Amino acid sequence: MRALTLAKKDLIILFRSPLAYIILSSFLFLSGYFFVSLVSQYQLFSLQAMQLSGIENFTPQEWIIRPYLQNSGIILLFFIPLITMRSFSEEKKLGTFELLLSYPVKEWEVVVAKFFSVAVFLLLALVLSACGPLLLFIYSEPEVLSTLSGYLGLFLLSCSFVALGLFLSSLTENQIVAASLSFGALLILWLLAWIKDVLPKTYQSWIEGLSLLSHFESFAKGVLTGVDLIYFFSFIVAFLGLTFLSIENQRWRA
Amino acid sequence: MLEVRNVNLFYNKYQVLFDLNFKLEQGEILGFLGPNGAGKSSTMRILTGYLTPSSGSVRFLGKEVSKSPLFLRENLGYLPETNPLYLELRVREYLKWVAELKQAAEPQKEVDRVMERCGLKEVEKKLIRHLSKGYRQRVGLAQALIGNPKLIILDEPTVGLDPTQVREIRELIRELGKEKTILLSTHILSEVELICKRVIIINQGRILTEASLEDLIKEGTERYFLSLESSSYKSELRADLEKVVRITAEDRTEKEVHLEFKAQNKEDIRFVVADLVASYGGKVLEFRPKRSSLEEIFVNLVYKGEQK
Repeated sequence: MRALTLAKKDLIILFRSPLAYIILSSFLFLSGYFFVSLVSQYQLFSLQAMQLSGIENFTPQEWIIRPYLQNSGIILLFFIPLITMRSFSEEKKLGTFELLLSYPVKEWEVVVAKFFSVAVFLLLALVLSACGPLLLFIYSEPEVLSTLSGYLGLFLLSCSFVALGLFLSSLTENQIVAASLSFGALLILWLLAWIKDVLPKTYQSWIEGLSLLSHFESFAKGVLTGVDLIYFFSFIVAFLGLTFLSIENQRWRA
Repeated sequence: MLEVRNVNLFYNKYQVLFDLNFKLEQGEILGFLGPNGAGKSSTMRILTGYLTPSSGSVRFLGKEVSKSPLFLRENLGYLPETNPLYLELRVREYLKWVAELKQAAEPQKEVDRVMERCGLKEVEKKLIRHLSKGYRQRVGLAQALIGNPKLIILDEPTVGLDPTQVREIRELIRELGKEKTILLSTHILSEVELICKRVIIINQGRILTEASLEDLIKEGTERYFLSLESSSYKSELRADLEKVVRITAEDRTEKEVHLEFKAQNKEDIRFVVADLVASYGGKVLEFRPKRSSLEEIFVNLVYKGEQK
């Protein structure tokens, strides 16, 4: 309940700053751009596909929705650090964090509230960006379940970005540092799978298991597996836990 | 109410606070006085549980703060030195949020009560960003008062305000002091003199002295000033006076004699002197203790402390 009260304040502040609207509109513009280009590409190919058979899986699901979700994920990777960078860094810099911790709140409630408020913002962004795929359902017949699972994956993916971003924001008073660290860390986690081919066989599955991208891909394909769900949940919980520890720890280091 | 025992604080390798010991009793206004950089704010942060001391303990109503921080937070009103506020919130909105967090029984009424008290009614709908410094300070004070806390800690509440605002805020604090326990940290001496009954003076992380303001001033009051009409000042009177006091200065003009003297020991010698002068028929123009200001006492203590 207190966590909700805390989150309410964060949401009010977020939506009163221009940043929220700038990020929201940039995200929608970019993802809309990708959507339009994917649709026109599909249209172009579909004319040829009638003549040349042999293109595998030539469906709106595979050619539009799946790449659209992946692109959205990459755009969010760039925007989310811009939102999470403020969460703790700004409060610490302004001194409001010290005051906040003099109210009857527990540290974990503060962490959960910060996470929750950004998650609500993301949910809004994702719902708005779903307009494109919804249009596809009017003019075509994509698979409902795989689309939903793709969106679930995208939401979990961005929540993981948020958890990591919150942790890095809790380490510093400097928002730019927080954002840069988050970019770096997220990109590395995203691209981890790329180097797996040059590694010895034993490490390949390890590396693949760590990469955010490979876990997200199965959601986008419409395959919901326990492993991927557990991966994202434990990723989120682990980084929120680290955030909590980092806040607790600051009481001890003056 | 609040008990600080053997508190030390290290910042990296530097020791910032040295073995602090003091108590804050129910219902008192304690002044925490020290020059800038003396360790006041660090101490405040330890008292509010934001920092944990490197060693030693802070107890609030018998409970260790670092072990049960929530118990303190439920009963605490705190105004940090920088008066941090969420600039994007409106005054009423912010105070209501604080009231909800502090779980006030009726948040709206509580906000009304506190806004009334701090004179914030006329700006309740404004964004905090658009308020003047004086009003922001009042908002800071208001958030500390919400929820009717048992303990109020104010860190430099009047810093950066203009003289009228300073007076208003002080008046408010004094008013509050009638029912609350208040710890007031400041580097402004007159503030302490006006508001507090007891003072702790701190410098370079050490407590220099802890006394009631009265004692502190009395301690500084060693000298007395006596002015007599010249014709009534006789040498026998002087001789008898010297038995009870030590004369440190004597000044004659045509009409008046000015004497400055100290008591031999620390007793109050005013009656003795008055009786003596009267018995010789001395005509007293003026007789008063030469009260050294808190300022002098403070400078003295800090200076002595630094010499050690």
